[in-house]
Amino acid sequence: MANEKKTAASVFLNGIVTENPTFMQLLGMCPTLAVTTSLQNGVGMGLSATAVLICSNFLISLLRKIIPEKVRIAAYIVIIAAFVTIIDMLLKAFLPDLASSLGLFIPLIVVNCIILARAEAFASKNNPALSAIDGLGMGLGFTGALCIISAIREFLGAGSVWGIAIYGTHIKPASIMIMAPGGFIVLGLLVGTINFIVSKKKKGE
Amino acid sequence: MALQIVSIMLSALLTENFVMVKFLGICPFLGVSKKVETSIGMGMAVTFVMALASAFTWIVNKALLIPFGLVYLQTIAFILIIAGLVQFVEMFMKKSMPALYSALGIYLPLITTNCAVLGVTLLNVQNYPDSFLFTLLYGVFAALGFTLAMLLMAGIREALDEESIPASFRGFPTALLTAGLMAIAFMGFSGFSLGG
Amino acid sequence: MKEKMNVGDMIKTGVILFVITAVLAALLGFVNGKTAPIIEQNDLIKKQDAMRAVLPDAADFTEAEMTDEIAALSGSDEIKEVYTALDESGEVVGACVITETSGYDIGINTVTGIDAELSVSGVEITSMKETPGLGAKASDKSFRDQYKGKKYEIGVSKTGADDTSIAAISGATKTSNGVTRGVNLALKTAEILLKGGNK
Repeated sequence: MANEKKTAASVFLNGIVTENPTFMQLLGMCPTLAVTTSLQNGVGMGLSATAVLICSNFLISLLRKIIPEKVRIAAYIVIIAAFVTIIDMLLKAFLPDLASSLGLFIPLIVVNCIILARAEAFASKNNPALSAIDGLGMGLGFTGALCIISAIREFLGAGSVWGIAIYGTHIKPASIMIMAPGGFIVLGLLVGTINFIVSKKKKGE
Repeated sequence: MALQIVSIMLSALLTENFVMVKFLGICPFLGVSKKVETSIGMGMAVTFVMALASAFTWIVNKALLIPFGLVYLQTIAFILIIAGLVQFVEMFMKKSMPALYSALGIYLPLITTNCAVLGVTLLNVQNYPDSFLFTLLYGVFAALGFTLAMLLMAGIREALDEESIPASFRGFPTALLTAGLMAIAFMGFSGFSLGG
Repeated sequence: MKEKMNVGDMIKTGVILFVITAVLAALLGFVNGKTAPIIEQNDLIKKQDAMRAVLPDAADFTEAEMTDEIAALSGSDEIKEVYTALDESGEVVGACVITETSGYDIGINTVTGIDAELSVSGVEITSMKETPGLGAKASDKSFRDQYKGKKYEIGVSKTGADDTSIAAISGATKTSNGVTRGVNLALKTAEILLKGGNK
């Protein structure tokens, strides 16, 4: 990987598809399961995490030669926590409804393994511009995954998508899908299906 | 008072189980739950860190952040406390419990990024800002709830014969589906209540 | 941890970490200064909107004093804020009481509007953490409207609503009880506030 020449486009696509943080690397499971009860929440969470990822990747990469090796994790955590706090405040100020429905999981972006993993695996080794693009790609990959999961769960569990009722007047939605078990089950089936598609593709090659 | 204590204990352990109901600490829950033995070790380490973290963050919040109007630094302060505690536990384990240390391996530093730990400290300041006792109690029992979920999961996974599962669904997807079924079981506790 | 750091390195490491932290803390302080008033404003607007929704006749709300008598109604600080509602001419038309009670989870924040005859004019739930699809149905209009026109003391019935009780949400009796407790506390509070103040 390190020898490969990295172009902006390949770095960007890497995060969205090949190394999709949710489906391929299986990182950041807690928010993936917890906030995907509605599409709006999924998008809100995804974009908040993306913003943090871009900022933290950029700053960490900028400071990568200054941050002492031994305390780098602590430094990364401080930087990430600072950006998360800023996003938290901005959401509370300008999107209070979203902030209250995501609740605890906004400050918990700090411990989203995706962000620390990208800081360690990418931003500490690459230049700021590329790192920011990596942040964007990974962030959008995460957002995309959240969208898929939350759309399925909202459709099955609440009978709506993006808050717009699709059915539910005659058929009662299976509300278990937006409760805890539904999260595990939908993600489990999705990851399994993706594994299946990937293995089919590999056989075809 | 006594009723409230029992109710905190039960809700942290069962009805509000961190893993099964609140979705906190999923990464280690799925990652370390392959063997009962490592689950116990991980659970104990998390319990220890969570108890200490609950106590420390309560003191810092009460003694520093609130009086100086720095509540907005809560997340940063708490995560630093947790990172420090984990480092301490790691050094302590390396010295006095080398066998457990090597078994838990890479998961120990990962406690820092276990959202259950940061989650419990943030929930504590929200729910029990004034009571040190409740804070500590909630921290310990939430961690025990986490351990319980992980232990059950490990028990199931050890007994599971993956041969009969389609290849694409082996491992992680199966773990998730198992967790889903467990979560349904845990929903059964939601009827639990203690008077009021 | 491979080798011992020398003192110079240690100081350098410390200084760098300190500078990073200090710069970020300053940045946070700045953002906090900008956003804190907006957040406060948002909460105020939300509260005002909720109070207006539960007591449409009122034009203005003035916060009433939380007397010991009111505080004593609840054993555990469930009554959060008390407001007297005035119409345009300054006449008292009712009261709004903000309560925080527990259902399945802690923290059901309810705003109850009570008219001058001490019956419920409306109930709004501003925030709660109840289970989506079950307890969270408490914020549905059809559930909340059951309280309208009822007087102290409102009961919870699993079989169906009548004059003195509301029908519990099926599968979420605890939530129904929690909301009802908030409304009942509000009714008691309003009695003290309005009867004590008017006579």
